[in-house]
Amino acid sequence: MAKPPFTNDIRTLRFLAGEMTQGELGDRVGVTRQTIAAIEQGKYSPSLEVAFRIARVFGKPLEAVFQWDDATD
Amino acid sequence: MTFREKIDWLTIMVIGLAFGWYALIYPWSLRGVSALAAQGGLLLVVAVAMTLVLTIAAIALAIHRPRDANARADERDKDITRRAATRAYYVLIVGGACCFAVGYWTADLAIVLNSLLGSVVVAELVRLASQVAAYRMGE
Repeated sequence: MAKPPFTNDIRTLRFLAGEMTQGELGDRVGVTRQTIAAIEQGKYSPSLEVAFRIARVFGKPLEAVFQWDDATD
Repeated sequence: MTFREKIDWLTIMVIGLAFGWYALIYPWSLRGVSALAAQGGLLLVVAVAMTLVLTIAAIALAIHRPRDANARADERDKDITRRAATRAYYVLIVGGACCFAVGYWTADLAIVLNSLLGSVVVAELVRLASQVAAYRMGE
């Protein structure tokens, strides 16, 4: 599958949120640990709903979690 | 490895073994009604054996990791399932077309039905293999 044209800071935000695990984030968002890992690695593009849910867990706006990557546009 | 991936691996192995055994044991020299009877009998054995093995194994896996077993499919799981089903659909269509060709080539109904069965089995293996590959690659 093609790499999505955006990057994310989920790993950093998890670290800053008390070293939250992928499993904990997945539970709060309503997806599996594997799905969070795939999103973090840029192998899977989440739906808008999941993207917003992730941002809400960290209390950040969407663009603070996901950034459009002009290089791969 | 998720519960779904484990079930996919298990199903691939069970289908491979069951229909491998079927292909080895089937009396390919028989023709006509006796061939159809043999096919029906063997398919019944294969279906019952597959159901039993998969049910017991799935229960054992669920007891071992109940949280994983009860987890609902998320959007990525559904996406992987949809893409795998699309690939399997194309294989099934090509297999069906090949069955028409076999039917044109031979009048033996058992051969035609076995070709159709083979198409369904290959399509199912492609579906399961696509899902396992997607999970392995972390797509």
